[in-house]
Amino acid sequence: MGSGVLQVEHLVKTFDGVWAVDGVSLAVAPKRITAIIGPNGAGKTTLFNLITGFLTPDVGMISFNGYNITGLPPHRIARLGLARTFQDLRLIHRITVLENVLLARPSPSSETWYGALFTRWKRRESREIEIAKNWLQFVGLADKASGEAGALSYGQQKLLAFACSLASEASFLLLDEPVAGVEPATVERLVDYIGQMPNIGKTVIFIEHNLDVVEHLADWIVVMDEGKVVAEGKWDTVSRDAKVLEAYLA
Amino acid sequence: MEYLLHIAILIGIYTIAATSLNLVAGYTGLISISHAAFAGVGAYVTALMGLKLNLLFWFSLPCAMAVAAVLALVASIPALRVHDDYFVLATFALQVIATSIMTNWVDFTGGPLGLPGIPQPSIFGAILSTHWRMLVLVWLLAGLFLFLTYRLVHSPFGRVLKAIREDEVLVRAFGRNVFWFKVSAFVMGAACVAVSGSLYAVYITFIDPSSFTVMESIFILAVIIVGGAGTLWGPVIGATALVALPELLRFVGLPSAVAANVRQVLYGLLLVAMMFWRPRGLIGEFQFRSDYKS
Repeated sequence: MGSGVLQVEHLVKTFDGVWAVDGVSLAVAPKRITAIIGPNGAGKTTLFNLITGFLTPDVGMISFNGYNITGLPPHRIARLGLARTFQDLRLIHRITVLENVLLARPSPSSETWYGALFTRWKRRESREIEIAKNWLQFVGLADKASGEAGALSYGQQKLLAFACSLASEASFLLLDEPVAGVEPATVERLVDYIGQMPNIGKTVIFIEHNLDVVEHLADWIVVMDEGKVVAEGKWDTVSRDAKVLEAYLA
Repeated sequence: MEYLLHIAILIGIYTIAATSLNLVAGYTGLISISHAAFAGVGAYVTALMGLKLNLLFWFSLPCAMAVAAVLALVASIPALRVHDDYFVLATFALQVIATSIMTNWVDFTGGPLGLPGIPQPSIFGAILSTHWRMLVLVWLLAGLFLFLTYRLVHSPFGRVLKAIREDEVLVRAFGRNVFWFKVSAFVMGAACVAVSGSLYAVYITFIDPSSFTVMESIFILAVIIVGGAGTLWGPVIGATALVALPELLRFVGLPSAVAANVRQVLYGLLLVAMMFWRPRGLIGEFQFRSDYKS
């Protein structure tokens, strides 16, 4: 394996004796779309939580753009340019759609009590609003900008979560089941948008059960089962792999 | 007339206290029951600086805020390491420690006997009577803190606070150091409530530990729950309701021994009723009883 922007080496995480992630090594190539597939409980989301700092690995090393990010807190990892979405769709429901995107923007140094009270943040804010609106435009939610985020449909909330990860200006997106539970028309839109990511210089790694989407989008597929990587490769290779078929059929 | 002014002054003092707790509990979602302790810090600092050092109110007020802020910073670093119910417990512990210091450090605080004869601030001195003077001062400061709160919560900083109240995991994923945002809110709340304590001290001219107990902390929390946590005017409405309503009982003609108890019962009933029928408060936005989130 060559060197990737994201390098995971021999990662182990156990919960009360259950080996949720059991010696996973990965190298994710830049400006590519990588899919992680596998049955429920395979350790996919745990792997995401380890990479993004929401869990600390028992053993192993994670490096991003050459920095060792193992054990850093989530906000530090996010600031280095790793954005993530959540399987259980997290958004701030009681503020507007636009404000959600603004929250996802990189944190300005004026975002302190002092900055709020004693600096002129308004001009900067209007520039931020322009950028945020552009991302809402990109995912087709521009007309919802001033509505409450909680009032969006499920599919629209998924689009918003995706827009947030884009607005963060992260170079690397970790998407946890981006199209799960979404109506087919919105799935098509999400697939289209995610497919464009390498063109704008972003690397994507996503967890997905919808294999049509995986086949269509992924340049590289990693198959996990019981905390281990059981196979990886291009779709043609992976889809014929005996261990993969076993993991899915068993 | 003086009686009405007295009520209006008390409402103003509680408006400041509740506005400051509103920032912490209403906007950031940190339910603290140590607010009376920080009001007490403000009151004692102002009283002692006035009594022992003969310093002017305008000098001791910022000192009171600073002392409360520093103590809040020191206390919040361990307290904010824990979440939700545990945070409430940590602030309760803080409150108990504070009350116990006020009661037992007799040389400094006068112990249970308190500190009498606190000098009043000498502003607008020649023009206004004591009550009018206090009224103007209290409501000017209340207006200032309402304005500052407005500016804070409508800024990008305030947006982060409101987001923390709803989902701090997401805010961390968005690259914010949630811990320091919470510390900022808690410290600001303490500095602001210290002002209400200072005003109380110079208005009543006497303080003792019984004014800054956990019951008082819960009362301030009740003010924002009744008024509407997480709204700008909620504290004003809550303070008016909870300070003025029991006063009305005076005119019902109950014997005073009964009236005091009836008042306590009323508070309890009001809180229970609010939780059932209007958990968001009279004009509220954020409810403490969450029934929509996992």
